[in-house]
Amino acid sequence: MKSVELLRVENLSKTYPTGFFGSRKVEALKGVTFALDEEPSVLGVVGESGSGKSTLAKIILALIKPSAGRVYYKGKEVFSLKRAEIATYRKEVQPVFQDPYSIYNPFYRVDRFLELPLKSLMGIHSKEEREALVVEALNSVGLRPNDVLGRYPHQLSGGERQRIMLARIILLKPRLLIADEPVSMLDVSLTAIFLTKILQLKRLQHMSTIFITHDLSVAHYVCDRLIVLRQGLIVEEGPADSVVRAPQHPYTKALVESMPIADPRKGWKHQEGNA
Amino acid sequence: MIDVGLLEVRDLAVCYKSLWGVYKVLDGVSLNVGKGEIVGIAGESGSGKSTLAEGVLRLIRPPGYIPKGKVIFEGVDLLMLGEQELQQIRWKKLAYIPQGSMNSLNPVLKIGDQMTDVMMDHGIKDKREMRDHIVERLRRVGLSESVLSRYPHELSGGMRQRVVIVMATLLDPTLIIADEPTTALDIVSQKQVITQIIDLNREMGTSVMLISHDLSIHAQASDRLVIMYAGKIVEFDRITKIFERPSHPYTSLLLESVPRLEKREIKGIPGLAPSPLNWPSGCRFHTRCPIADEYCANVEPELRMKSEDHEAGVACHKAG
Repeated sequence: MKSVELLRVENLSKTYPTGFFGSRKVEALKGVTFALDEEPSVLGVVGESGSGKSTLAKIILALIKPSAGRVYYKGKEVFSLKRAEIATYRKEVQPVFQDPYSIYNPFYRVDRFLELPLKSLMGIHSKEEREALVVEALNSVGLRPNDVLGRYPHQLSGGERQRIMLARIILLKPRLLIADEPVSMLDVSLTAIFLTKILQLKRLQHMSTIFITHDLSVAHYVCDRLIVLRQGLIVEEGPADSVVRAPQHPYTKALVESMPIADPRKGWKHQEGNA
Repeated sequence: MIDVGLLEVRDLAVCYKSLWGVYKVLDGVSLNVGKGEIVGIAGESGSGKSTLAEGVLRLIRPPGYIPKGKVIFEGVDLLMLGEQELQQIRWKKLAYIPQGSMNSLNPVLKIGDQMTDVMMDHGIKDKREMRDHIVERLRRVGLSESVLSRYPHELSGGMRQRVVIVMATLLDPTLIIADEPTTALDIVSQKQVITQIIDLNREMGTSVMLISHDLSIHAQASDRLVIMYAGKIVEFDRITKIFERPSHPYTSLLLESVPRLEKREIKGIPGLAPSPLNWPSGCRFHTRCPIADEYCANVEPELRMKSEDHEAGVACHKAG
């Protein structure tokens, strides 16, 4: 018997009204279909700005409704889940965004941001137990608990905020992570830590990830499979390594050609007559 | 060496006063930019890259101040000039492309008007001549004349950034200081912008100080690379040497953090970057350094030359 797919996105479309009183329409997604197996994996969604990447993330997170098409999580249609099932969905499918600042409540300390979901989503009622888990998670992302606990989001640096997001993921153990440009504001060293953790969670906690990025070298490193999105359509998909090394679609070729290679002896400067 | 260089920064420091004390954001930085050279500045956020640019351009505003240092540009110390003399040098000889500058275009003026304004401010009056010049520059980077009649919001981020660079270089400056010019751009626009900078350097001989946290960008564009950590320079060298034989442990760790196609495992740098309010004693990297010992924790290493021609230097007790 075939096991149930973790996620299936079927013929997803999204149209935004724009212009004077919504007189014109912008199609952000035009019938996107893909699936994630039960087996933990990292699926990359790459494309330029305006390709529909973020719209896709928001629909999967059930933050906005699609204009057409369906999203199935473990075989069930996400937008017709029952109340109790929605709570489970919210627990099992977690987001990370580019700038974590926007999702922190500015009036609450970091402690609450980490502990509250442990209570409400994970049902851990002992305060000592929660605190111990928080400390352990912070240590594992290279933060000293004393430096961050008791502080407000605005008192932290961007890197610290993104590390706390990562600590939160470690605490909540989601089944599926939707990461929308999670590393594009981070320094290389922190990016490396972030990517390493995602791979670790895949291996140890069976977490799957949809990794949305415009950075092909990051996608190539962390992803098993890649989907290339252009103007709301999938133009190419396949194993990450073959998409990057042997792109088929002209658009993917253009993206790969634009990748800066971390080798000063290869690349743009030595090409003649580049446009 | 015979080449006196175009820009010589000597022991430049920038401090910020705050309620909690004095932040030494930039703490004694020396470097040269030669004629026709692209010098890259790399480092993590908070290392002082942008402050270095602002210090060189003397754009530090209170509560910030420059306690010491020299910025010698074409033989003149910019820190000694009056505001008006400095104004003459900016744009004309020294162009600055600050971080996020693509969002700094005036939203209610057409691109063409903004460009002619720049030229009129610096004494070019002939309208015909001005337009020909602008159109020629736009063509060179593959932009059509039609952008002149557009408003900034009608252009994509990548196009706006290219327009900003064209605008900054209309008066043929000898040095461009570009601070993270491709951050927030997708990779296709990123390549166009970097290629535009490389072409300016190659065709017009313009020197460039290119600030970016992205080492791959430096691999593609920079001739020499300066690595900053905690307000100081820890290493500088030719770009090929930095990538092939880094001397400072911090440089090595940074390079190991870059994802490459060979898919070997990447490592992050453990710990957090220190705060400018109290930099660590001794070598500022010792708190995160895998090979630091007690000596490193107590004695600050000097930035010493790796070779006799002063092309390369490193500040580490352990570097051979």
